[in-house]
Amino acid sequence: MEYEKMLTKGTLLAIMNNEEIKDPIMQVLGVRKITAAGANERYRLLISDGQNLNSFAMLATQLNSMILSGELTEFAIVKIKRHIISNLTDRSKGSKQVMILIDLVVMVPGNVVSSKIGDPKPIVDNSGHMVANGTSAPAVATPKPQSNSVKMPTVQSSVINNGLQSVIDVDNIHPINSLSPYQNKWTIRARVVCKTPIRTWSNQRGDGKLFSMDLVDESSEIRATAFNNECDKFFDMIEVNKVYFITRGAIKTANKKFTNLDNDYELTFSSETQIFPCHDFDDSQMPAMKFNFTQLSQVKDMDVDSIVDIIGVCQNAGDVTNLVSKTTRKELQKRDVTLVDQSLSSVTATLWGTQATDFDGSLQPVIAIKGSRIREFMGSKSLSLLGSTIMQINPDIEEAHRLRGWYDSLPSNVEFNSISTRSDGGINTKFLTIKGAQLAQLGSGDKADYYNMYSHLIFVKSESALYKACPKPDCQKKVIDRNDGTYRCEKCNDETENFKYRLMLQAQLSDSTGNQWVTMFQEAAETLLGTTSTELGRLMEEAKEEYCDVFQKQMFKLFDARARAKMETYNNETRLKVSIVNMKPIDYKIANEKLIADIKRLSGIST
Amino acid sequence: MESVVLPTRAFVNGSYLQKFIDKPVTFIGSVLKVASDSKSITLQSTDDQVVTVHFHEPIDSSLDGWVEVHGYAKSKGTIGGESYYNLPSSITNDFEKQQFNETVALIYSLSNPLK
Repeated sequence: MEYEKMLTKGTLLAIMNNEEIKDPIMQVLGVRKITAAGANERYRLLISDGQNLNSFAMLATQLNSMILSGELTEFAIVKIKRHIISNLTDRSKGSKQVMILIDLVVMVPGNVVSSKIGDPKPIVDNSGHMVANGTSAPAVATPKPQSNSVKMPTVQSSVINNGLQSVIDVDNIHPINSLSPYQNKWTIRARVVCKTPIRTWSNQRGDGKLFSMDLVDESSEIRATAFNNECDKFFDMIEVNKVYFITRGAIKTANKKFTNLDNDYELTFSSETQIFPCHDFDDSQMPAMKFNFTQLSQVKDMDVDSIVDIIGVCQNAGDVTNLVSKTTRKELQKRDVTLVDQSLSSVTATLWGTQATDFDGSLQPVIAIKGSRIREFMGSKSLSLLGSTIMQINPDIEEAHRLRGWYDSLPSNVEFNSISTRSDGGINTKFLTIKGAQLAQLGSGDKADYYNMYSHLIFVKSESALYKACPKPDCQKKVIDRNDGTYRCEKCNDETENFKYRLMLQAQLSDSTGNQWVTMFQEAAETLLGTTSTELGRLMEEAKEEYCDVFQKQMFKLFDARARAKMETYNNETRLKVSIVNMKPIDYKIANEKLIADIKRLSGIST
Repeated sequence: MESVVLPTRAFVNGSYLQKFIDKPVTFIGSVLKVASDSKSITLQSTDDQVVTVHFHEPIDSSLDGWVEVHGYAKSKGTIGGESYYNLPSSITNDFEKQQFNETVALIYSLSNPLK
């Protein structure tokens, strides 16, 4: 019969003997629903390879839908693409091997086959007893296995002299990427690449504490968390960068909100968990850290708050600046560094605390950053390092060496596309006409919209350009003139005898499509006028004519202006407010080049 | 008062001159030579062609650098000049000839959507 030839005879026995068989093909002889703990339904299958049968085959829950949809039925012939053999300990019957089917495809539906193929017999289990009713199993010629061990060959054995063999089966170390919730007896050998401090929480359900660590081996990486008792038990013994054997614990689906590791699962230590340091181990065999690098050019297209790993050459390092956190009132140190990579993009990354103060960028080191957050400010993207972020300087990894070689041989006049530029026409700049911006209804969303426009300055309300502001360095509030030589700041709740001038320009811009009233604040206005608000204040008081000249000088010139549009509500009246972030005289060459490219693109002409 | 319709001058480079014979043009070129009678100049166009401009009156013989000429195209290599403007080097020292040529080509290969 046709179907009989499809089945991979004898493979079932081989599989149950821990041999690795690629894509065995079996027939399903029965499906039974069992109710596991909790609401999870599970299906237990009776499967046959035409020679043997096994009734301890479990369908992984994610495949339940195959049964519910009627795709997988009795007599169906299936190809098993992924499976796990797991030892279940049952008090009454002793140890039992269970085959868990993780991925399979139906090759022939059950209603087409509609009968049992061959005369399969139950398999003799490990203890030599027949699983079912006593008939002796036929002597089976074992087919050629592809590998003689179920263990992934990636783990390299090492000698342990500390008498742990009794607890740890050194020959049966699992690579991290083979861990799944269907296993309960496993041992991994992994390096701790980072460890968090102990964190405590307190809510209605009580208090607790935890710490977590990231583990890496040759195959993959995984997050492990220890709560309460285990937190106390393991926190002191775990040292970053050491290699440990870890056995037993719960494997759960990872919550991607808290981890960015490349693993669908994570570990939670339980009372059964045991951890032993691994000595006498060839350190170089174990990678120090796993990165999943994203090119800098791609960062601009990623969502804000995503977590990325990046590597780049530190082209430039800013100075350390101090600031006080608004929420915690703590003083913080930060340093901005500019990183570049082969995508010819550059990005600003912000380092904090000791990472900022200890950083030395003078030799333009290669920096690998694991788990930094993408932030957006005024329409440009930058990176910020978090508490959980790991930064390595000149790491000994292939990407770093390649980057170094690339950077060192780079001609000095190469220009990088900065994705962190705030005002200049970077790659994330949208050019619009005044009418175009109005038609696109920019600013009507929740977030402010940023765009650039080429426009002429046609009017400035010069007489109300300056206002008297609170003299405190970090306060910009307009002061109330009490007409007795003192000025009151409502924000600081303080009266002083002096004030500082600040700029707030109301101006009108115009292009061939329309006019737009805009507001320009301090920095943008100072740049436009080429003077300081203090100097302008002096001119206003002493030399009214010169004061007017400052404004006249910029009149009717063509500018490249970066605008921010946002709906704002004053006194129940909502209207569009457009402010200018930056405005500079147009660079005709760049503008012309851009216009030519735009015309060609829009008209479909190419050269 | 009598109203005069001013004809629109067309921006041209050397190769577009012949398409505007007897029509008003604006032409930009750099001075190669001023004739001895000071009534004509030889210019090199942005697309590296040699164009001669004839004026009715003698012009400033020390003319040098980039010049914008307003006049009528006479043949593919000559212009009847009406007026000229010597462009200061501050705005021409990084004049992008290729961009100018490209712009001229675009103007005449596309219809004017604003007309």
